Amino acid sequence: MDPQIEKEIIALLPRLRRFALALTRSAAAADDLAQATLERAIANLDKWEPGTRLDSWIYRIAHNLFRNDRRNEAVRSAKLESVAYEAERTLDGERAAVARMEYASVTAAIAALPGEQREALMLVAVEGMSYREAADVTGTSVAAVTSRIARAREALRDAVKRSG
Amino acid sequence: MTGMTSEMLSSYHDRELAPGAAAPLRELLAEDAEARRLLQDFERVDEAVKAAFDADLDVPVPLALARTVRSGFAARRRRAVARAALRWAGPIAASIAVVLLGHQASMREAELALEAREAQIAALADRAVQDALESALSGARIAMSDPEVAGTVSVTPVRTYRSASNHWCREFVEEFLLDARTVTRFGVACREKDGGWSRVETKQPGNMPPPVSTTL
Repeated sequence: MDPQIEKEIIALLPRLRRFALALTRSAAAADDLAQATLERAIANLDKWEPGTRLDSWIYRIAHNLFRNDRRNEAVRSAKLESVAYEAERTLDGERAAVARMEYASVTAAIAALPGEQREALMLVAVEGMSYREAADVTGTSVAAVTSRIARAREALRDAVKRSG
Repeated sequence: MTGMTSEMLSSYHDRELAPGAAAPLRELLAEDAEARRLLQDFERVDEAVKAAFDADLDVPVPLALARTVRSGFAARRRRAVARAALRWAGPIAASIAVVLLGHQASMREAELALEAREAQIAALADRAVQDALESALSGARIAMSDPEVAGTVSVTPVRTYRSASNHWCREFVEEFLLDARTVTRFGVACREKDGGWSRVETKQPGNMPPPVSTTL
């Protein structure tokens, strides 16, 4: 079974890194978080229940590591973080540049969302999870996920309209 | 909007409303242009959010992450081998030279001895791979030996290419001559930003690709 799981985890890397980026909003911090998550996941692989979603299980580890880390860390400037987040998006050249022009205000608005709203919206609208699954990953209730997603969508409404 | 909240519409959009709640909401929607506009806006928000997040998938994943996965699973396999060897001391264990020195008192000690020898061999192999990939043309063989390991590792690059993630990568064959036995493996390493070569794949005998022509 191990080789199959190893392949699945390798295939999950780009998405895990994206999730880490949504949490940390900085490329360097996202890499560190993804790294720590992978080490933790592989060391505890026997605790994963086969038949359940491997990605959700790994995201939950990332979520918990991030929250614990956050608790110990001084609050950094939100402005700096959002600048780093923008820089990360410009790395891959033309496609990102086009997307940035179209969605510049949306990207900024996403970065400005409260972290828990951005995380919930990403898991449901981008990763296609159900509210239940997103609640399990983030250790919260379905009601909280419901409200976070609705508030995130309301907050992004104007930005989407402005980007035409 | 009457009789509904944006939260209800958002849940409806995600098909998360209870079955009994969705039908009445559809009826309300039919009569409420403002609510329909909000629902449409939510759809546009989701499209924009997906496009923004999908741009993140185009950024190459650092090789270090893939290496963490590979080495993590390799360590799991090593531990499984060590456990199996100790459980069935006998014909199976006899094939694993390092573990069966006879005087190791505990499984932990045996594991440590196995890991120490493997680490020495891995370090020698890594030096040989770095040297060969940096300086040898495809088809040329570089050999290195270490008296402490009592073995020789030789590395022959076989192919060089640009990977999908835009890294320079080289495939190679490595041969280990250890304890009068020869083991051949196939590997792939890619160049990191700092200039070193990082192994991204290793295939064991029986699982190796067909020979590659060494003329490019």
